[in-house]
Amino acid sequence: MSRKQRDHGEWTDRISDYIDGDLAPESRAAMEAHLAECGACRRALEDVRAVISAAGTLGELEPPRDLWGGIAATVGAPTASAPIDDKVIEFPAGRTARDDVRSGTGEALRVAFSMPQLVAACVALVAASSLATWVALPGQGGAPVGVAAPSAGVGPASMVSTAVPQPPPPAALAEELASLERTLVEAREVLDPNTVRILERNLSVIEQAIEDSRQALAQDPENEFLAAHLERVYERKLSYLREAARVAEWST
Amino acid sequence: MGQRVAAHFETADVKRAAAGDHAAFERLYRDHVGRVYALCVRMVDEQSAEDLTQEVFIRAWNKLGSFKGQSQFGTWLHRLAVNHILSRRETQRKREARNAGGEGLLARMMAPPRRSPGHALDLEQAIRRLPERARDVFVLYDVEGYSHDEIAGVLGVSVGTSKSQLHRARMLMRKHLDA
Repeated sequence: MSRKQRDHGEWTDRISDYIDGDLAPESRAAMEAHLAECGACRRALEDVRAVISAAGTLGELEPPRDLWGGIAATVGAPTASAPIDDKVIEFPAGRTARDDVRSGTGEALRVAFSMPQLVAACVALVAASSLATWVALPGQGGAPVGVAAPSAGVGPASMVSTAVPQPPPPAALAEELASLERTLVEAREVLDPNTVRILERNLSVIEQAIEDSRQALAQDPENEFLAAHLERVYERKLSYLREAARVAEWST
Repeated sequence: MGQRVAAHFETADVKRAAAGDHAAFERLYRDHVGRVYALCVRMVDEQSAEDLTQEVFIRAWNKLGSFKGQSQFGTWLHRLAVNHILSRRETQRKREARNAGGEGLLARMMAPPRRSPGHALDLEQAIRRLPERARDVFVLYDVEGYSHDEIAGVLGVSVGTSKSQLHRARMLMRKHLDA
């Protein structure tokens, strides 16, 4: 190795320290003086800066397959849950997908759940709720209660409050339910009006189911099935509000 | 508002998961799997990354009770993932040392990846070509944003070693990407 090459190597060895600000002021000044007259070192500096810049843009990588099944089997979780990707469709508000929000690319127009599926889930929830209430409640004469069609007249101000009196949720859920409801009230102004309408309608359906269950429980307070059922309906409401708040998050 | 909502969800989900709520843990998994998997791919390889990712989340489930909320859950999980990768690699190294000549994980890790003639290596491939220690430091510092102090603590090396390995990695990356 020639002396020139050796000297050159001494400078290139300092490039990372120079970039990261780890050189003492005198060394930094000497480095800059050398860079001013050495094209090879300038190119090396530019190349290393490009490598660092490119590394900083590397984002997350999605596994080629859903790994939850293997994890769920080990931790004892039910594995019936479909991968989120299976549920993805375009959302009417046209906002970015979670990953795009996370990475800031903002390219895709998909979100991790489907509003029609939420609507269907709500209908199924109400049907199941009503059936369960009917089965469990003595003396109802076979008429399911509470299969109320979603109210078409839910007004814009009723995002999280309907005409139905609200029974208190279990203490463990109350705080989060209240917080999510506040979040949705805040987000209402930025959501697509059609989205707001769907959210309001579905919340109305869920809250009707809660009220039906609560009334049934009031008639038969010792009925453990009804008590458990009411708590499950609250859990569903929480789950729905969470998804709705995610939509709000993507939309802001 | 978005970050506040996300933090709210995560805090609630961590509490629920720690209490045994599998649905909450699945949400945490789906929110963080991309970052954990990417770390595994970059620090080890694609073949092993799926298994490692699953192991990290299983380990997280078992250790959730020890998470005190003093840092973000994602930070805690990431550190757990780094430690698990390093620990698993050490175990594998010992195992393969006992079975010299085997074509195991370590051998795969040391071998340069296949490349198509005439195609430049992309950044991910170039990272995988780095020597193990240089790759660890490069991924943790330039990709993940760790400080040299943090890297020194995690890898059990001095800050000076971390800096010199980082420079070595960057210069090799330059060379690989220029090839």
